[in-house]
Amino acid sequence: MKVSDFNGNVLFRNWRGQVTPDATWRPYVISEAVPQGWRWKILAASLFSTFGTNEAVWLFAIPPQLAKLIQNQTIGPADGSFFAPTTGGGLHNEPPLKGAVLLSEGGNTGNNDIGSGFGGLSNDSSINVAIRRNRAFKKFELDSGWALLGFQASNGGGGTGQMVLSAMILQKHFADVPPDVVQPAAPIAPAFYFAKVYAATP
Amino acid sequence: MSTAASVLVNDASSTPASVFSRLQFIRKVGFQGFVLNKAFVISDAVPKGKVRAILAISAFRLAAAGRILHFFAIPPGIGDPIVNPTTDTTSPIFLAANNNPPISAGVLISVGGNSSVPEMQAASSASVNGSPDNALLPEGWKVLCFVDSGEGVTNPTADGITLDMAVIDFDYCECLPDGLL
Repeated sequence: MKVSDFNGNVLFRNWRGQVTPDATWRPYVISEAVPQGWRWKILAASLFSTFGTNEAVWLFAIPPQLAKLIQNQTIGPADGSFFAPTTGGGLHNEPPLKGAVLLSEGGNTGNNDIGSGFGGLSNDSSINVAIRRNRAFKKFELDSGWALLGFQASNGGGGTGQMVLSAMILQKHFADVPPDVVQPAAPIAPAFYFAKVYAATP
Repeated sequence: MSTAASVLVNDASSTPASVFSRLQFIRKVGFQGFVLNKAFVISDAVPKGKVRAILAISAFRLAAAGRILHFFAIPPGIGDPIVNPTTDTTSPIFLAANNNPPISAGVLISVGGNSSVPEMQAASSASVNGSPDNALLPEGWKVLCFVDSGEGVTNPTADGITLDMAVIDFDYCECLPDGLL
């Protein structure tokens, strides 16, 4: 990619999630969907929350069918629309998600690499959720209609607060995508394949 | 155009070894009188029309008390007015008092986490690594490094941060080697 193209297509995006009304709601934040005709390469991404306690945060890729259902609501997250309706821990918006794939490092709250704030509002720590330790993620691109979702294991004891997702994104128009990452052509339809194989048979 | 640049324009499928002959060392020093407001250091903006590949980045502090350092990429606009002050003072990019996070805009490029993350602890001139990956910065972006701690704002001894980077700047007419993207 040419430097001039890179400079012209890098975006900085900052999304703010809903303000949780009380301690029973887990905070989350979702990006807008990747616009039609474009793909996003995530060059850097980080999350922080305004909650003071140490909780794990995760970044997920959300497929188009589910991304359409989610929005950053002002108050009152859409419980059950994308998180599993059962609340094993007694809180709203608990994992697992109905459909999503983890992009960030996994693990629970004990993993310091994904542990959130430590010491209160004046001490919000961001979490790097785009560490490209494995080559698969380095090659990963978000297709049209997909979205990014960040959420926190819990809000750590209550109060109101929110999550913020920041990202440096390289947007690529389909025409700019190198051939090696373009989706393969659709497979030959079975009927056509059958005709091709058996047409010469006497 | 240099020989290395010519190679890049004509063949972006690999990273020719000659590119590394363009590796530059950059050191930026933040204010060193940190007693009240948390120390920070910010790099210069990537020159217009260029892309900066950060191949290595680290920072250190002199004081013995251990504190965590965070490295952020700061977009143009927000980062434009931020400079390295010469005295212990506040910067408008920090939203909390005494240069405490969160910051108004930026994306973390170092390992994240709370104040206990072992690989980001800086003390007694021990450097910490600012990025687990090669980072590409577009034109106008800066790197901000700051101290984060859960302790009181008053530091017993004056302190400050020094930022070191090994970078290659690519011109607008060049192609970025595949390995960097």
